Amino acid sequence: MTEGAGRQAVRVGCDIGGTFTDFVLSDPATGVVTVHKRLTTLDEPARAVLDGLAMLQAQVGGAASIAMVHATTLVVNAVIEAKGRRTGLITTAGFRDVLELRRHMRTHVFDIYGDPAPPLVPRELRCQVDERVFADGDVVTPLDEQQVTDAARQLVADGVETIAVVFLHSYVNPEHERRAAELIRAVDPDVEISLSSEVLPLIGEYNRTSTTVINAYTKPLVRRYLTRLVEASQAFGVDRLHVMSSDGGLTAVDTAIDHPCRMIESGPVAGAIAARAVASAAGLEHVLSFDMGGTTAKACLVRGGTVPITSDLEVARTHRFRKGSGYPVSIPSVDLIEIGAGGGSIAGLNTLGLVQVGPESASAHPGPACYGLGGSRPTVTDADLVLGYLSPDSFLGGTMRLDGSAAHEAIRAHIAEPLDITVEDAAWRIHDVANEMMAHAVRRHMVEKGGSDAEVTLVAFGGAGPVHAYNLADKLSFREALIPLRAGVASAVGLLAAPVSFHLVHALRVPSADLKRDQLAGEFARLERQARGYVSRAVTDGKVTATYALDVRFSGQGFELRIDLDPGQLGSTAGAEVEALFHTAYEQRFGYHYEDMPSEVVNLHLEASAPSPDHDVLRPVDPTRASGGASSRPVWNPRTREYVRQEVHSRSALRPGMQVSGPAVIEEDESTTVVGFGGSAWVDDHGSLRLRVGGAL
Amino acid sequence: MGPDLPTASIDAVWPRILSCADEISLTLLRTSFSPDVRENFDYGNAVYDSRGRMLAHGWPSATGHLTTMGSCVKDVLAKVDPATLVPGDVLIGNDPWTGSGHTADVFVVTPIFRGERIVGYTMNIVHHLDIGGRPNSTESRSIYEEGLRIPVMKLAHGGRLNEELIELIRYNVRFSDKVVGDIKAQVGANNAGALRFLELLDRYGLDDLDEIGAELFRRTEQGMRSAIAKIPDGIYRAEVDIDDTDRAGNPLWLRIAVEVAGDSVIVDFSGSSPQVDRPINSPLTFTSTYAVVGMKFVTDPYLPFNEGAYRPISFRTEMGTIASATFPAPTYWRGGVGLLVPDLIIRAMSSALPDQLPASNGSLPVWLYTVHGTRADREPFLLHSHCFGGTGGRPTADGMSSTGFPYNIQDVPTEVFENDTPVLCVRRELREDSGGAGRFRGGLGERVSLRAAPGKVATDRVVTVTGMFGRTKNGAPGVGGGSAGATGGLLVDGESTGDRSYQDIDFEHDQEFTLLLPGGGGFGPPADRDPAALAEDLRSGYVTRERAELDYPGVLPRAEELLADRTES
Repeated sequence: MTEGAGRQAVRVGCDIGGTFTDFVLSDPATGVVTVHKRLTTLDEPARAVLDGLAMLQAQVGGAASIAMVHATTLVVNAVIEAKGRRTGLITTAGFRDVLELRRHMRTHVFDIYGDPAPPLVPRELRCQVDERVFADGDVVTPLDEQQVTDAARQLVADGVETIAVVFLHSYVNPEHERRAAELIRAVDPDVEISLSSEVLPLIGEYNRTSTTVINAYTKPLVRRYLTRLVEASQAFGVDRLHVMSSDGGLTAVDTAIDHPCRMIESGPVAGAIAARAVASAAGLEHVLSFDMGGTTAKACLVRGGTVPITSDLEVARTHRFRKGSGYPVSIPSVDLIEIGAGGGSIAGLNTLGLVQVGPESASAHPGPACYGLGGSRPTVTDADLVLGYLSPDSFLGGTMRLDGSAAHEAIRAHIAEPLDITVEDAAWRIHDVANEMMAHAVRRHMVEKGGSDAEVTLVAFGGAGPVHAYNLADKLSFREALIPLRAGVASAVGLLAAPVSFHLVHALRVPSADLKRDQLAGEFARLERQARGYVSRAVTDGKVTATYALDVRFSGQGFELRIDLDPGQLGSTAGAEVEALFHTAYEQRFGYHYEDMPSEVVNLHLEASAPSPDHDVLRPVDPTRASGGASSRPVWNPRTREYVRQEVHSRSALRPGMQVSGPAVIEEDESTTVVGFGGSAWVDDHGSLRLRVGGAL
Repeated sequence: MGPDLPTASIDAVWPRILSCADEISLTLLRTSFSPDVRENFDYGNAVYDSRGRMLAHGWPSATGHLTTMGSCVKDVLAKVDPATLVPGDVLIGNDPWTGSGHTADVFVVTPIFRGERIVGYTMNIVHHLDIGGRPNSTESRSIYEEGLRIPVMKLAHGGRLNEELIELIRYNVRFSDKVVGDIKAQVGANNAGALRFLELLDRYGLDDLDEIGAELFRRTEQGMRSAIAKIPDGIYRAEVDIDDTDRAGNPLWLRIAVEVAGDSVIVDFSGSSPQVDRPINSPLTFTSTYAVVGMKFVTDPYLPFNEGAYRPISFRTEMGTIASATFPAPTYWRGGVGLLVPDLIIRAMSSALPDQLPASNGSLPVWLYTVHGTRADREPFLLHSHCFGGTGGRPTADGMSSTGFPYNIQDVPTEVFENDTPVLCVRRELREDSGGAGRFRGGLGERVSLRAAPGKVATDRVVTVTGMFGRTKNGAPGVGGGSAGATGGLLVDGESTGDRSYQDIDFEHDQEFTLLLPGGGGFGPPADRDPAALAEDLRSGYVTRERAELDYPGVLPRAEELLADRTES
C-alpha cells in the first residue's frame, strides 16, 4: 500500500478510441483494478465517458473523489474529418500562401495524383498585414495596426470563430504577434486566438503555420468538450481531470484548452506509455511497444525507460499513409510509427500478383467478412480465424460470434482462387505478409532511432497485437515478447502510469564552440520557469523535476542528435563540454565521428515533470487467484500444411510461474495470444505473459 | 530454418528486400554532409542479386539515379572481374558515362560475401558537395573543367581503405573533409544493407536471391508489358525547344519518338541537336533514366523498379547529340535536357492515350539558383534554393500549384534562407493567372521576390543570382484544347532580364529581384470548365476577373451567379 493511501483518490484512465471507449479504474487504497469497455459514441464522445463512469460507479460503489486521466481522438478526428471550426489566418504580407505552397512535394514520385492535403484555411480567409521582422529579430517594417484591426473585423464578419496569427521569425521576436492579439481582442473579445510564437516558437514557417492553424482549428471544439466534461463528470465524483498530451505527459485541462494541438496523438501515445510502464515493472531495459488495433498498428521503440520524441509529426495522412499527405504538427511528440495493417486491413493482390495487406481497411463497418456485417473482402482477422488463432465462439469474451465460413469464402474468392492455392495456404500468406509488412516498418523505425534489435522485447497489446506478437517477434529476431495483463485496454492503463509533464523546445542556433559558460543555464532557467508553471497547474503537491537536453549536429549535416545534460553541471557546461558529449554520442550511434569538424547547437529541450501518483498500477497479481481451464482446437501448422489440435488455455487460469509449451493459444476476453511452434510462455509476477520465441527452431 | 520455410513465399521475402535497401538509404540520410542528399534527397541506393541485377531500390531514391542504379553494377562488373574480388573489397567511380551523368555523382558498390562466394551487391550513389573543377559552372567547355573523374577502382581492398585514393580526392576537392566524410558514409551505408541481406538469406535458408529475384523480375516485366500492351501501336513524337542556345545563339531541340509495338517500347532521341560546348549535354545513361521515369508516369506508377521494369524499354539514337553526349562533352547541367524527357514522353503519348494524361508542367527543366554576395561585415555569403512552377491540368483535376516535377524535392524555408543569408524574401506567394486555362486548369507557379536585408549587405557590392530556369520563351503546352501556362520571367525592379534559361543576374542593395514561375498547361477546352470551379478560382484569387473574361467568356456569367448566391446566403 502506498504512503498516505487514505488521502489518495480513486483514479480512472479513460481512452476514447475509434471503436471502443476503454476504462481502467484503480483504487490505490484497496489495490483493486476494474476494467470496462463500451462502444464509442461518435456523435457525442462525452456520452460514452459519462455512461462508463456511471457503470463503474455501479460496479465498485461511489467514490468521494476521483482523479480522471483522459485520452481522446477528438482533435485528430476533427482534422481527419475536416470538422474543425471556421478558421482565419493573419500573416505577414507576401506570405499568405505558405499553407498552400507547403514544401512543394507530391506524396508519390510517379503518381500524378499524389496531391497533398488541402489547406485547412481557404485563401479568402488568409489575410496579410504589413509587418516584417528579420531573422535576427530586427524589425524591418513596423506592424500596421490598422490592417490587423481591419483583418480581424473582416474575418469575424465572415463567420470566423478562431484566428491563427503567424508572422515570420516570431520565434525570435514575438512582439508583433502579441500586439496583433491585443488588437484582435479589441475587435471581438470572444474569438479564439492562437499565436505561433506561443504554440510553436520554432524556425520553419510552413511547419509553424500548419501547427498553429491546427491549434486554432480545433480550439473551440476542445474548449467546449472539456468544459462540459469537467462539469458533467463532477456528478460521479470526478474532481480532477488530466489530459494525455502527444509527448506522453499529462496536462491540466486549461493547458489542453490553450494548446489542443498538444493532445493530437493523445490515444496512440498512451499505448507507448503503457509499454514503458510494463517494461519498468518487468525490469526490461529496451522494448518495442506494439499496439495493433482494427485499422492500424502502432510501434514505438522505448529504450532505457525513455520514449523517443520527434518534432516531425504529421497527422491525418490520407494517401496510403504516405508522408506529405497529412498536416505537420511540429510540437514535441512521442515518435511512433503507424502502419496500415490492423485486424480489419483488407488483403488483396497487387500488380505483381503478390499478396498485399492494407492500407485499405474494412474498419468497423462493414468490418471483416467474419463479422457478418456485409463485408465480403478478406481481412487479417479473417485469416487469423481460418488459421485457428481466433475462435468463432470466444471473440470479445464470447459477446460477438465470428462466421468462419464467410471468412473462408472471402479468402477463397480474392486470394486462393486467383493464386491457385488452398484457402489455408492463402490465410497463412495473409498473416505472414501482414507480419512482414509490420516488421519492415519496425526495422525502418529502429534504424531511424539508431536502435539495435538484439536485446529488445516486443510488448504487444491492442485487440490484434497478441495474435501477431509471436510471429512478429520471430521475424524481428527478438527472443522475447510480452503480453501485459489487460492487453485489450492497455492504453487506458498507460494513462494511469503517465507522469504530469510539459515539454518545451526552444530554437537556439549557435556553433557549439561559441557557447559561453552560464549561457545554457540562463536559457534553461527561463524555459524551466515556463514549463513548471504549466505543470503546477496540474499538480499541487508532488515533486517537479526538470530534464535538459540539446539537439546538436555537425555543421553542414541535416540530422541532429539529442544530448542529455547533467542538471548539476548546467552552469559549468560550455562549448568544449558540449562538443565532447556530442562526439561520444555520435561515435556510439554511427561508429565514428569527426574530430575537427565544427558542430552546432540547434535546439534546447526542457521537460518539467512530476511522477504519476499511481505509478504502481501494474502491481503484482495475487498468485492464488485462478479460474477457468484448458481445451483444444485445430490450428494451422504452416510447416506441415495441416491442422493440428492445439491446447487452448484460459488466461485467467494461468498463475504466476506457470509455463505453457508452444504451439498453444491463450485466450482472454479482449485478446488472444498465439504461441508458435518451438516457443513457450510463462507468467510473471505481474500476470504478464512472457513468450520465449524460437528456441528449437 | 524458420517457420516461414514451407512457403518461403516471395510475398514475404519482398518486404524484407525493401528493408535491405531502406537500411542503406536511412543510414546515408543521417550521416551525409551533402545538402543535396538531405534537403533534395539527391541520392540513390539499391540491392542486387549475385549477377548484379537490381532487386530493389531504397526510399527515397531520386528519379535521376533510377536507371543508373539499374545498369551501374552490371557496368562495373564488366570492368572488374568479380572473380578477382575478395571480402572487404569496395568499388568506387564517378564517370558520367557509367554513373548518373555528371562528375558530382559518386557511386560506391560493395559485393556481399557469404564465405567465399558473392551472393549479392549493395550500391549507393550520392551527389557530392564538391568534386573539384569549376563549381556548378554553366561555362565549362569540356568535361576536363568539371573536376575529378574517378574510373571504376577499389576504394577498399580486403577491408583496408585505399588511403592513396582518399588522399588524391582530398587534394582535388573543396570542403575535402566533408567530401571524404560522405564517401566513408557511403561505405558504411552499403555495409548496413549487406548485413540485412545476409540476415535475410539465413532467415529463409536461401543460398542467394537469384531465383526469387528472377521471379520478381518476371512479374514486374509482365506488369510493365501488360500496361504497354494497352497503348495502341504506333510511333508518337514530340519535340521541345529547350529555351537555351549554343554559343552562336542557335536554338537547341530535344526530339523524341516513342515506338510502341505490342508490349514493348523503343524510345528514339534521333534528330536532337548535336552536343554543344556548354555543360547542358546529357549522356544517354541520364537521358534514358528519365525516359523510363516518363514511361512510369504513363504506365503503372506503383510497379516496383527492378531489373524487370527496364526490359520492355529500349533506346535508339545517333550518338553525340545533347541527349546522347559523348566524351569529352561537359555535362554538369545535364538536367537541362534530361529533366525535359518525362514531360516530352507524356506529350508524345497524349496522342496515343487521349484524355488519360496531363498537360505539360511549368517548372521545367528545373528552377534552381544560387544567390551570393557580400555581407555588411565584408564576409561572403552563398545559398542554393529551388523554386517551383505549376503542374499540368489533369484528366480529372486541376494541376498542382508550385510543385516539383518530374523530381520530387523540397524548398529551403524562407526563415532558414534568411538565417543563412542577409537576403530578405519580400514575398513568396502564388502567381495568379499563371495556370493555363482549361476544363482542368494548370497549377499556378509561385512569385518570389528578393532584396538585400536593410543594413546587412555591403552597399557598394551587387548581389548575384546564378541559376538555371526554364519555360522562359514558351509556356507549358496545354492538351486537348487547353491553353499554355504562363511563361517564366526574371525581373529586376520590374524590368525583364531576358529569356535565357541560364543567367547570371546582378542587382543592387536597393533593388528588388523577382522570379515568376511558369504555370502548368491546361487540360481540355476552357469552355468546358465547371462554373463552380471557376467561381472558386475567382473567390480565391487564383484567376482574376479580367483574365476570366478572356479565357472563360462562356463560363464566367454562371460562375458570377454562383458567387453572388453564396454571398447572399
